[in-house]
Amino acid sequence: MRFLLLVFLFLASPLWAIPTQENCTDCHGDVKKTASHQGVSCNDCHTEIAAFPHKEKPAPPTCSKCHSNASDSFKKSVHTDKGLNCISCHNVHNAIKANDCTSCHSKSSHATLPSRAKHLATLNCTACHGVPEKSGVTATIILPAGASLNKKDVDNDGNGFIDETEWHALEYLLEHKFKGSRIDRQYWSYGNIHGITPKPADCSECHEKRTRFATATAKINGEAGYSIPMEPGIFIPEFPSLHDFEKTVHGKQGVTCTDCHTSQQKISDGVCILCHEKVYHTYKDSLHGKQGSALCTDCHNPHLIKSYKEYNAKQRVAVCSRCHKDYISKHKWLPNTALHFKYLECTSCHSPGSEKSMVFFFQKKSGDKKTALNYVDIEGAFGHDIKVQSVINKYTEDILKGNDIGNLLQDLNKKMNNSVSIDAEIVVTKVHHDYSVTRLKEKDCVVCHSAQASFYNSAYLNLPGKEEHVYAPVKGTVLSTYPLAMAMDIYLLGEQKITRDDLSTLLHKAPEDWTSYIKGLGFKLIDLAGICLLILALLGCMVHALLRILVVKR
Amino acid sequence: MKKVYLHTLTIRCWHWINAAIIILLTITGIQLRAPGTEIFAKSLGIWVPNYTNAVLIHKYAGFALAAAFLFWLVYVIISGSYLRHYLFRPSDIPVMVRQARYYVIGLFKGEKNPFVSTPQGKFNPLQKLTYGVVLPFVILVLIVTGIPFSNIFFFRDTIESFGGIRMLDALHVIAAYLCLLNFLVHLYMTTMGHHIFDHIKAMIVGYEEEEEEEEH
Repeated sequence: MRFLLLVFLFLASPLWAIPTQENCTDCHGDVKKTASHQGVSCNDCHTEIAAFPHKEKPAPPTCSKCHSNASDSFKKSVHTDKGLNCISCHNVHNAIKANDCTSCHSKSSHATLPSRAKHLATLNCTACHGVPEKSGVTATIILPAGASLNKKDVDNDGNGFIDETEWHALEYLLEHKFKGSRIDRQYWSYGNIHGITPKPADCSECHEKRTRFATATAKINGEAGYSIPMEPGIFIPEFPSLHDFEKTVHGKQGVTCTDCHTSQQKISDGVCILCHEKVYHTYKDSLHGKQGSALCTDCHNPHLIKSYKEYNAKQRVAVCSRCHKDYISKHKWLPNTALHFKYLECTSCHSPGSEKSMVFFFQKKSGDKKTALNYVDIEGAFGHDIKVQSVINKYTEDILKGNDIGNLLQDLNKKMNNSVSIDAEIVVTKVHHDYSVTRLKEKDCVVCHSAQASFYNSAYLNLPGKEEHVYAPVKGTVLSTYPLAMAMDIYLLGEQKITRDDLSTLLHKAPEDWTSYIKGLGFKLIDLAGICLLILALLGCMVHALLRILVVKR
Repeated sequence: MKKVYLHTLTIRCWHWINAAIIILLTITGIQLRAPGTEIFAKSLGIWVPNYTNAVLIHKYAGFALAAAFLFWLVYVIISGSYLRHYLFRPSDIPVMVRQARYYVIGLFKGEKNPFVSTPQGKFNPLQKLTYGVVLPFVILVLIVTGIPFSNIFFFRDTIESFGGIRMLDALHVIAAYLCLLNFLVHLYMTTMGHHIFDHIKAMIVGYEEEEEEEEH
C-alpha cells in the first residue's frame, strides 16, 4: 500500500508537468526559430508556462534574461514609451531579419533635414536617433589594379595625419596621375542601437561639437595598403553656430543675421560689398577675380570669419588649395616643397602688395607631435585669466627684442618640462586682395633667402590670447636670438650662390663696367672664379687632346 | 713591353671607393649649390636624387670621404709609401720643370716622357706635388669645413671660430671647386698612358705596361 502511494505521488509530481520542446510543437508545429536561437528551448524564454494546459494568453517572453544590456537600453528608449517591446522589431520565430526602422517609419520624410538626400544616403538611422558608441568616417581610396601610392604623396609633411591641404593635393594626384581610381566614403557608427532617443542628435553634435563622427581615416588600397588618420572636417563641414558667431570678427563688430540674409537666397558678393567695398574692387579688378570668378564666400566662411591673424600658414594654404589642388605638383621646382608649405602661405609670394612678416610662435612637444601653444598653456604658466599683454610687459616695457623672447622661452620651459620650442612662419600680416602674380618665371631663392627680404624688417611674436591671438611687434629681427641666428644664417647662404641672372647681367655689361660689377658680387665671386676655372680646364684638356690626335706620331 | 707592379690591392680598392664617394659628393654638391639642377637633370632623363635626399647623401658621403682620407693617410705613412712615392724633394724641381715642358711641348714633338713609373717611385714630381701636398690639403679643408655643416647647432662654437657660417661656406666651396678641377684634370690625365686606357687598367689590375728601356 505504501509503495502504491509513493508511485502515485511520483506520477503526480510537477516535474512531469513541465512541458518539453516536443510537447510545444505538438500544438505549435509551424513555429520556427532564428539561427541565433537554435540552442534555446521554448521554456528558456516562455518562463511563465510551467504546466499544461497553459493560459490562453501567456505573458510575453523575458528577453532580458539573456539580453540584459539591450533590454535596459530599450526600457529607457522612446520605443518603450510608445508601448513597443522586443518582438515589435525582432521576430524570433521566423528565420527572417529583424524588422528595420522603415517597417514602421516608412513615411519618415525628414523634410527639415538640410542636405536631406546626402544625409539619408550615407547615415544609418541610429547615427542620429541612437547613441552610437563609436562612429567615424572612412575614406577608402581604391587605386587602379597594380598601382601603388607612396605614403609621402599622401602625408606630405610625414606627421602621420592628413590635413585639409594634403587631402586637396591627394585629390588632384588621384584625378590626374591615377586615372580610374575612386574614393569610397563610409560614414559608420555602431554601438547601442536600442536606446533610441526621443529627439534625434542635434546638428551641432557632428558639425560643431564633434561628439559624433569625430575621427576620419584614409584607407589606401593597392599593392601595399595602409591607413592614415585624417581631418574629419574635410567630410563633415563645420556648422555655423550662433554661439560661435559672436566670437567671430563679424559677430564682434555687431553684424546680425539679417544684415546679410535679407532673403532666403544664398548671399552674393553684393552683400559683402556693403561693408567691404574697397577690398571687393581690388579683388574683382585683379586677374584672379576676373578669371577665377570666385565669390567672396568661396574663400571666406562668413559664419566663422576669423581674422587672418588667427590662422597659421597651413590653415591659410588650405583656403587656396580648395581650388588649387595641384599646388604641390605646381611647386615641384621648389626644393623641399612640403617644408616650404609648412612655413609659408600662398600669398607670401603670390600677393606682392601684401605686407609679409616673420611671425614667431611657441610650440609644445607631446610625444612625436608639436602643437602651437594655446591660451590654457599660457594660463598654466603665468596664472589664471592672465592678460597676454601683461605677460609681455614682464619681459619688456618697450618692444620685444631677441633676448626678451629668449627669457620668455626659458620661463615657459621651466613651467612646461622643457617641452616648448620656438618656430617661425613667413605670413601676410596686412592683406592686399590682388593675387594676380603667378611668378611663373621668377624662381629665385634669393627673393626670400636674403637678408634684404622684406619680412626681416617686420617681425612679430604671436601669443594666444583668451579670445584672439596677440601679435607683439619684435624690434629688428629675432635672428640675433641664439642659436636661431645660426639656423637663419644657413638659409641665407643662398645669397652667396651665383645665379643665372648674375651671369647674364655680367655678359651684357660692357667690358668697362665688368670690373665694378665683379667687385660688387662679393661671395658670389667664388662661383664665378670656380666656374671660369673649370671651363678653362675643360677647354685646355680638349685642346690638348685634339693636338695629341693631330700632332703626336707614335 | 714590360709589366710593372705599381698599385697594391689596398690602394686600388681605396682608389675606387674614393672615386665613388667623390662622384656622389660632386653630383649632390652641384645640387646643393644650384637648387633646381634635379629638374634640369630629369628633363634630360638623368636620374639624380631629390633635394632632401641630396642633402642627406652629401652629408653621409662626406663622412665616408673623411674616413677614406684618414685610412689613406695612415696607410701611406705606415707602409712607407709616402716617403717612397709622394714626398716632394728639392731635387724634384728640375724634373718637374722638364715634366711640365713635356706635357706642353715635348709630347707634340714626339719626345719621350722624362719620367718612367717604377715600383720605387711611381709618381712624377708634378703628381707628387698634387697627390702628396695640394690634394690632401684641399680634401682636409673640405672635411674640416664640411663636418660642422652636418650639425650646425652642435658645432656652433667651431663655426663661430671660423668666422661664421658664411665664411665656412666660402672655404668649403673654394675647396670643392679645386677638388672638382683636380677631378677633371685627373680624368684627362688617365688617358696619357701608353694606350688610352692603360692607366685605368693599371688601377684595376695593379700592373702598368711600359716600354722596355733601350740598352746602351
